[in-house]
Amino acid sequence: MTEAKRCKTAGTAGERGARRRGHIRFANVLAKMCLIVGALIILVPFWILLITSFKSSSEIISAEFTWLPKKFDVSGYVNAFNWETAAITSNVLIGLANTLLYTLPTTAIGLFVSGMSAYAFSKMRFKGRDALFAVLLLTMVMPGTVVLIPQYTIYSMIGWVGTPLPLMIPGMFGAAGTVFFLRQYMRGVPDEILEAAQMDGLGKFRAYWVMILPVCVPAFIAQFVLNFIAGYNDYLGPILFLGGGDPSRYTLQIVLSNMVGQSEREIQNRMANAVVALVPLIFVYLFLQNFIIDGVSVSAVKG
Amino acid sequence: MENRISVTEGAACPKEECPALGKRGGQPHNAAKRRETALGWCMALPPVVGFLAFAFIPLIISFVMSLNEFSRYSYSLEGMTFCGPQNYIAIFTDPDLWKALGITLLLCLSIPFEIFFGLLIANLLRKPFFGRRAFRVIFFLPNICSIVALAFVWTYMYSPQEYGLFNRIVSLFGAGPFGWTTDADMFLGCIIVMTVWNMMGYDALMFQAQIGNINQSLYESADLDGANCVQKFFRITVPMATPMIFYLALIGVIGAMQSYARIDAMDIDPYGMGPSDSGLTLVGYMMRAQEEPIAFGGLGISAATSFFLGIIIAVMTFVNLKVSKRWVHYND
Repeated sequence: MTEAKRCKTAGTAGERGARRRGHIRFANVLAKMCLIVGALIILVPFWILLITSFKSSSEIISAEFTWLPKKFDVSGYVNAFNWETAAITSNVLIGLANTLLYTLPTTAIGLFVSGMSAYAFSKMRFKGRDALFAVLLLTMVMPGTVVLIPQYTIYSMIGWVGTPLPLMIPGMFGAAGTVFFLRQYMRGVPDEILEAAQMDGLGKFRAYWVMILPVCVPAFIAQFVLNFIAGYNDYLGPILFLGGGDPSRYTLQIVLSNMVGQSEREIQNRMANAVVALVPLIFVYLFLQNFIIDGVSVSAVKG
Repeated sequence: MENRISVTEGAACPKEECPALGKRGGQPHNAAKRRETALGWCMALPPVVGFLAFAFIPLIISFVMSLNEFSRYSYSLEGMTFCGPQNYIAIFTDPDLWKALGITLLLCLSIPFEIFFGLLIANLLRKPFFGRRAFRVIFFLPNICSIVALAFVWTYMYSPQEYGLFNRIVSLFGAGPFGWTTDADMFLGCIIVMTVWNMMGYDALMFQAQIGNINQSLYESADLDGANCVQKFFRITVPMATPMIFYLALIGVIGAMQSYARIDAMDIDPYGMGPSDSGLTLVGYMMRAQEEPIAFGGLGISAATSFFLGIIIAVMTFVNLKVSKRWVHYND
């Protein structure tokens, strides 16, 4: 498009124009090549992860590297899925089940609460609203690791350490970032539909449920997925609060981190477990990439 | 916009029946107003309560803990005795803390690279073309994956054995084999390279959002003036992206100051922070005091470290906010 425009405006200098067009075509090819090289750099570790999980131990440490396994060996996956042989401290399936069990309800309830809060901050007028919002914004600049140690102390005093409660209960109160994002989104929803709800005799809460939620579904999906991914990948919290305790309560990340430092012979098992851990996430990502990418970039511009 | 609505709607319905319009719509009943305030507080409050209960109160307790001594093995507040600034004196006279601070700051070296590559990718993806979406999805992929799972494949590629990918690459140039993550001098470099790989897609995505907001007529007038793509990049894209550069640098530093997981996962030895503690970050220093109270001082030391870290981050946030006003171009 710009090329056509340039031809129209600067078209008199034929020779120069042709040279410029050549430059542009060259620059275009160069740009695409850079992108392809970059994408390969991103993808190669994933490919190596995948093929190594199918290589036998002897092939993994052999001097010759191949981009495909010479012989597909699924023993890594057999070990990962075998309830008897897989040590319970490193059973990726238990970890996966626990992670989903802890993360999904927390994310859902937290999102509902955040959404309600965002609705109040964006569509209701009440005394002290802005002061309350300012307090909430403080959360966003407060780094989480700073309060881990006192959290651990408090949780151990009330008997939460060794249980998944520290990973679940705080999240159910909603998150400031989510409130901020949803509030921004809801401000774009015209007030007219709320007035219509009002005239139909709907209360404020019903109006949120019936009128706002359906309109804001994309924003809610984006936040749900982002919060779910964050919970799925959470590392320091689970290690601190669950790491020393009952192995049947371990999350996926604890299970994986217990495999760090195992011997060379375990490389194949480790890779297979990593693939099992990543596949659900990558599926969610590819399936909902629209929401995720838009969610992240919108939070970028607004944040 | 709200004004316009209140004017048109105000004529249609009696003012008392439109509490949604609030003050601007007229004078709603006092009772309705009070009810809305109560409901509003109830709905808005949970995240604030969560923040107070799970972050703010712990922050206060953290400060109290940092001024107390704990009996070793005690994770309860009951066994503590006040000791004044002893814990702070202990950590500030400990060379390990300064080493940890240095290592943590070195990890920030990944940020300029992340930002540079991120901006480059975003700029290459500026115009729509077939497959653009696929590139965006690919570049962001490492960011959603768990760092431990990624660390498995990276430790394999960094293997000190000859089958490691990086040793294969350097052997093409007749060098190596190197120890990579098992070599204390190279450990941080390895972490930084992996971090750049992991984070540049995130930065690229952020820049794409920012670049999408740049007024296209700037590029068009630059085209008319015969600017080439390098000139456009440095004269338009970079200046217009400064708010995002600043923002990414800030959250990058805040993230790097708290780095722990990637080092813990990349380290072969489960009980250390990199070969000869070459990856001991501030959070690592804090965690080991808590995990091994006999060797490294216990909860008081841990709390003092976390408070020190919190102050560093707060100061950085504040300074960044002040400094950025001088050189950031806002697009409004």
